[in-house]
This record gives sequence, C-alpha cells and structure tokens, in this order.
Amino acid sequence: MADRLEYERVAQEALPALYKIAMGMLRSDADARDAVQQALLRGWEKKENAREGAFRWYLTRILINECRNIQRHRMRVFPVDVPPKAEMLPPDYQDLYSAIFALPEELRLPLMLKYLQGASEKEGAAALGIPVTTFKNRLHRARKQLRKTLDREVMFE
Amino acid sequence: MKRTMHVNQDALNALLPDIPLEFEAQMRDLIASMPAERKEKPMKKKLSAGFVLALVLCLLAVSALAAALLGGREFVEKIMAPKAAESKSEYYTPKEIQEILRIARENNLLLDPEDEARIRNMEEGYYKEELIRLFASMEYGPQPAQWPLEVQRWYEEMLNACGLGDGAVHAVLPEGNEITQEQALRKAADYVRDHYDPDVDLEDKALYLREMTYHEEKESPYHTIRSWWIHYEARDLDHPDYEFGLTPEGEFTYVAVHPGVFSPEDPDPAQTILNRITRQHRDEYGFVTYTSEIMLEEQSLLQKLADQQGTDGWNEKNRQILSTAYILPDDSMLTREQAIEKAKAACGEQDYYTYHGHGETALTIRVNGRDVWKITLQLKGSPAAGKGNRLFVQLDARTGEILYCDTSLETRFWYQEFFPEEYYLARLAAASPVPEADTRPTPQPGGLPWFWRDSRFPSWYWDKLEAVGYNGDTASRLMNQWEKEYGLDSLFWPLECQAIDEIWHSLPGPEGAFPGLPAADEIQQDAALQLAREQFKAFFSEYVPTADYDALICGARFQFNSVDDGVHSWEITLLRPDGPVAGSVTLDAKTGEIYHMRMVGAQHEYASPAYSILQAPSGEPLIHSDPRMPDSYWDTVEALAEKQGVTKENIVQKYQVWLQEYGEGAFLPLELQAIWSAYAPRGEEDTWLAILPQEGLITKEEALEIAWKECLALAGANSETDTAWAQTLTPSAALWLQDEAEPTHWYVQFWEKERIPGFGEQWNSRVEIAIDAETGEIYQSGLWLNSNG
Repeated sequence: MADRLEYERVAQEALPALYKIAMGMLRSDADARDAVQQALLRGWEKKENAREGAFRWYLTRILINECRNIQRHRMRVFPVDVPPKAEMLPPDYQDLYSAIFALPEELRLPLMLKYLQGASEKEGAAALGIPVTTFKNRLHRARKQLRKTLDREVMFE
Repeated sequence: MKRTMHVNQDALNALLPDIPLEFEAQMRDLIASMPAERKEKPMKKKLSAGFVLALVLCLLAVSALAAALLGGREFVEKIMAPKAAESKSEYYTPKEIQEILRIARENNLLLDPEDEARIRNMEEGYYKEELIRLFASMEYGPQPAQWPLEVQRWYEEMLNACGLGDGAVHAVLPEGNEITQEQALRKAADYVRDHYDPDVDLEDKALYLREMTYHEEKESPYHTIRSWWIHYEARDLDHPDYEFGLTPEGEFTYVAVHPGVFSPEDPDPAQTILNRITRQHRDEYGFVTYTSEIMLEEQSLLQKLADQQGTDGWNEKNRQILSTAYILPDDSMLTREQAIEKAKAACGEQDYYTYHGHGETALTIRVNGRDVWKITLQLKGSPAAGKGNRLFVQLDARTGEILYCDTSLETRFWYQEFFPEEYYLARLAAASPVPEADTRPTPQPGGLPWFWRDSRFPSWYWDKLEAVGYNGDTASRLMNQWEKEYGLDSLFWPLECQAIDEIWHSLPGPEGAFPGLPAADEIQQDAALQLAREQFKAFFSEYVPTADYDALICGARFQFNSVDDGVHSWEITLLRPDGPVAGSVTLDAKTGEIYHMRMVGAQHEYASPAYSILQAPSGEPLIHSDPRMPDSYWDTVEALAEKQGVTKENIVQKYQVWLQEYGEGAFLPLELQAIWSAYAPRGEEDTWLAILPQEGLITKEEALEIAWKECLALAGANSETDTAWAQTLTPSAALWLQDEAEPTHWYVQFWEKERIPGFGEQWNSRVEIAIDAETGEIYQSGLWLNSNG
C-alpha cells in the first residue's frame, strides 16, 4: 500500500520512464500523454492497493493497462505517429529500432521493462500482471527474435 | 563482420523520445497537486489599494481604542491582517513581528514560548500566513480544516484580502440544491457503518479528529468545480482512518480507508507504522523534524511487528530502520545546534534555507562503534547537473570531525529533497571526507533564475516578462493572482504569465524548447486562434457537427524551439465547454503552416498516413486471407461490410459514426467489431483480430455469464455488494482470434456506467476477464488496478 508520500516520490521518479513505455506501446505522443495522465490519476485513486515496496511496478502496470485501454477498448489497432527520433538515430540504432518495434507487444514490453526500466523478472511480471515464468519466457523469445532480426551478436545488459 | 549490438538502458532510451518538457512539467504539477488538493494550502494573493487604505484606517482606529482586549480572531482581523496588507511580501519583517508580538502580549494572547522564540529569531522574517494562523488557532484549533465551514470561509477571505490567499481555490458554503454539511457527514458515517464498522462513532472526539472542507476550484474562466472533503483521523495508532470525497450532490468521488497499526487487514503493516508515527510528530504544515527519539519509536513498533509476523515482504527502508543503531544524544556529544553549525561551517559559504521543515535535520546514529551526527542542509538555488539541493554531512558526535560532506546524486530529483530520512537509512557509512566544490549556476538577485535575460532570446522578450512585475521574489504572489484572475489552468493565462509560470516552476536552463512570445511580425494570438479553429474544423469536419465545433473553447501557448531549433510555434488547445480537451493544433508562428493537428478520440491525425488492413501501401493484402480464418469467413465479413456501406476508404469515418452511436469501440455489436477489425488501418505487426462467433466456441451469452460470476467473486474481495456492482457496471464482450500470445478468447469487460459522451471520452472499465473461447476457462481476470490482477 502506498501513501501520499510514496505516491509522490514514485510518480515523480517514474514519470520519464512511464512516458517512454507509453510511447513504446502507442507510438503516438498524444496517446502517450493521455495514457500517462490517466495512469497518474488512477494511480492516485488506487494507491492503497499497491503492495509494499512495489508501487513503481504497480503504477507501470496501471500505465500498461491504460495503453491497452486506448489500443484495444477503442479497437485502435494502428500506430498513428512514429517517434520522431527514428530517422535521426545512428544506423545501428535504426536497425535496433526497427527490430524492437517489429516485435509483437507481448515480447516488446518485457524487453522494455527489463532493459529500459531495470525491472527484475518479478517486478516486470507484476507490472504486466503475468506469472514470472511467462515473463521469463517472453523475454527469452524477445531476445531470440532480436538476435535473429539483427543477424549479429547482441549483448543484453 | 557486423559489430556487436548492445541492448541496454542507454540504447533503449535513445530509441524512444524523451517526455516533452512542457508535458513533464504539467504532470509533475499534477502529481504534486493531488495530495495538496485534499489539504489546505497556505497563503498569498493580491490586494487592492482601496482595501489597503481601508485596513490602514481600521488599524489606526483600533490603535486609538486600545483598551478592550482582543480575541484571536479579532487580533487577526484588526492587527495582523492590516499589517500583512501593508506589503506584498509573504513575510512579516522582524520589526513587524516584534510589534505584533508586543500587541499580542498586551492582549494576553500568548504563543507557546518555544514558538515565540523561534519566530522572534527568524532573520528573514516569518511567513505571514503561518503567524496569522497561529493566532487564529487560539480560538478555533490548529488546522483550518477542523474549523467550522463559516470560519474557514472567513479565514480564506481574510487571507485573500491581504494578498495571502490561495488564488483559485475558495472555501464556500453549500447553496441551493447542494447537500448540507450535516448531510455530507451523515453519508460518510453511513458508508463506514455499512461497509466497515457498524458500531463506529466517528464523532467521538476522543477517538477521531475530523477534518472537513467544502471548496470551489476555478479550473479556467469557463469551468468551476465544488467538492466536499471529509477526513476522520484516528487519534490513536490502532483505529483506521477514513477519507471521503463527495460532489455537491452527495455522490462519492472516492473513499479511502487507512488501517491502523497491527490491523489484520493491513496488507502493509510496516508502512502503516511509519505513517502513523510520522503523523504523530508532524507540525501543522505536515513537516516532521526527524529525531532519534522518533526513529527509536518507529523501530520499537517495527520490532514488535517483526516478532509477531517476521519481516517477509518488508522493503529495504523498513529493514534498515530495524537494524540501524539510533542513539539519543547525551551530554558528552555536541548539541543538535552545535552540530548543525559545525556542518555549515565545514561545507563552505553557501546559502541555506533556515525555515523549519524545509531546513536542516539531524539525527544521532552509532556507525561502526562511532557516534555520529547525520545532518542535512537545504541549499537555495538551482542544483548543478547531477547534484541535488540537499547537502549531506556526517560528523563525529563528540569531536565534531567532519566525516562526509556532499550533495548526492540520489537527490537529483527534487522530490527527494523532502525525504531526508532516506539519507539516514541509505548512507549509514561515511563515503568521502572531501567536500566537493559547488558548481551550480548562481541565481541572479531576487531569486531570478541564472539564465534570466539569456541572449538566446531577444531583449524585448525579457522586457515583456519583467513588465508583469516578475523579479524572482514575486513569483508566488503573481501565480496566485493569475490563478484567481484566469483560473488554475495556465492555458488561459496571458502568454507572459505562462512563460513565467514555466520558467519559475520547471525550467533548468535555456536549452531546447522554451516558453515564448510572438514577435511583432509573427502571427498574433487572436489570429492564431482563429486559424487553428478553422483548420481543425476543416480537417475533422466529417466527425463532429458544426455546432459542437463552434462551442469549443480555445487556449494558446507559444513555444520557442519546440518544433525545431529556431522555430516559433503556436500550440492551440481546443476544449469542450465542460472542460475536457477536444483536440490540438500546432502551427508555425511566421507562416501559419500546420505542423500537427489531432482530435481526441478521432483515431486520426493530420499528416499521419494510415493504410487499410486490406491493402498495404505496397498493394499486398494483409489480414484479408489471414490463414487463421477460412476464406468463407472473409467472404462473410466482406458481405457484412458491403451491407454497412464500408470501404477501406471510408472505414474511419464509419467508425466515428458508430462510436457516436455506441459510445465506445468495445460496445459495438460483434458484426461491427469484426468489420472494423478487418478494415481498419493498422500496422503490419498487429495480428490481433476481433472475429464473429464461430461454431465450437462458447457463445457471447455464455461468456457473459461466466464473466459475471468471476466479476462478483472479484467484487467480494473488495467488499462491494452484488447489487451495487449490478447497478454501477455494464458489460461489453469481444471475441478475439488466437495469436502468438493468447488463445481465441472472449474478452469481457465491466464498465462504469458514468461517463461523459462525445469527443471520444474514455469509459472506465473496472473488471476485465479473458475466457478461453474453446474451453470456457478463465485464464486472466483483473479488478481494475488491483495489484493482485
């Protein structure tokens, strides 16, 4: 359960990463903003439900749910924007960008949670609302597919 | 040979855009405002010259009367308010304080001696609002939220008149059809009795402290909200707290229960101990001056909890409190004051806050057999890159030897400045004896940011910002004045005010996007608003009736370098009359070129090419002929689409019409879901697909029945009754085809019935259940936002 201070501390810290996760899912600045804002509001409303010490991942999960709300509940199945940075990236990163966004969301999200947000497998699973074994499995598949797509040695750090 | 690719945080960070600066600032404000909106906020406001004159005359008259003793309220009205109105500062000067305290003594109004000594010794003076509240509390109690509503209103009006009130938020009294205070309290009490404790007496003053406000908030010139807030705070450690929000009509907007210490229902008893102990020691503004006594008290309760239940599931902070060797200062040690003075002297000539609650904190701890003072000092000004505003100092408790003195990377986020206890926990051992040089930019006189009048922006721009009266120190007063005049939403403030708001609140420097003003040869605000409105209407004309467009309210921001370096742009936001955003337009301030345009919920954006699922830009069919479904299925979908007049060219417009009719995509009949899913523009990687019911799969009715049972089971876990859920929730169902991640499944959602129609407002789903369509087995279910999923 998170209190007022915990909410404020975690939400402020996680805000930049929440936006990136939302962009990773929705690929639209406008939608990502909607999702982040809604997640912060819902996170405040429901902060008492978070487990001890897990509010960050609880909030991440709320955000992911909110992104899915936007995608699925409205049957919004297509990305409307592409992050503007893509074409400005170095060639290597362009390849990585393409490869990561070629992953289905089910595989992309575990990857982002693990390597962008630094989530442990337990935390990542909590954020996605899936068993830890499922999380590990998806992570494994994501790594495998990235290596295949990029056709080179890929180090996951 | 190809180079090795590294997938790590840096790489992934580079792939995704950073959060836009202005949006980040908005969200940080939002986060900060959520706790604040339930607690009274202190101070500020503008005053009229006439009012000052009236108050001064009043003061003269009162001085002449002299004889009769004044009560707390009278003293505030007749002595303190006129004095406060004499200057625009938020502080009484030391001279004014001496006079106020002298008159107070003459009227037998005596402050706590410790408070009085502290206030007299404040070199910078003392917050007016705080001193006023101290005297008002002599008559009514310490917290305004505990005062009668009429007194709260008097108090806020008095502060407003002195220029100290909270701009856009006002204490009000219920009017007309709004529920009374008694009705609001009865509703709260009934709720607690019905749901939690049938025997509770919330009005037992020995048991509960009641706080209650009724506030009106001016969101914008067009939108105002009223709300009740009720809080029953248990006076002991054991009983739960209850907190409610209600609309003027008496509907609950939220209910929160905070369990007492050692409650068997408490999922997080360790955290509750910390919360409750902290609460017992906070001052009237919620600040806690941590001492070893407090930490030892926390530690004792945590130890008791650990003995009862073990420490499984505790976070690191609680474990550290349990294991830390807090000690009480003894006569052989430096006193707290001596230790703080030594810390300041050791860390150089820096500008510290001295105000209690924002300033220094100090604890005595035994580390590796050595007794140390751990001290934090709050620095003024903007932190240097990678540095924080809190200076951490450790010194030998007896000799005063400095063991550590530095800011920490851990405090690079501003919010961490408010959690000094983290320092005592996380940095138990001295890490470095060497104070680092402070490389932070030097603020300009008066508290102006270091980049004020930076040459990257024209001098006329800075002149205009200064013309509104901003000189650093006036920011807080100006913000409240603008909130009062223009509302809480700065979108409707004049551009100069918006710019100062943004600079004051969030900008670290002049790089990147910066709040701007249009040059004389650029499109001016009225013309920009007109242009945005016309373009928005023209582009989205197929989706919304003209009358709705004409009712939209426009607000403008102006940005330097937001679209690209050197570009000046207008960012126009269009809102519905009842407040929600309907869309936005970004245009070039020189040429009027539209950079970006969006309508909320329109599924469509200007300059965003979308292609049909039936035909990619390459001409290749995508989902049509998806082997997961037979050809006959696609024939059926095509026939249904034809019947609806759907083509790949008009599918988006059709979908908008359906949304108008059904309110949300999930509520579309299954046939329309299947058509939309097959025809909608989408990316090639999107393989999920809503389909029509198929033989061999459970029916929609069966799925709904299974889901409702699960829904009630979930509701039971949240103490909500079947009837209440049936009254408040409405279901939707969609049948999704198997993909890599999931089997073919019914996705049933139960939605809150309350929503605002039009412009794609979201409905809120409370329960989501996925049922394997072949077996009828629930493989995923979640009460919305329940951490147990």
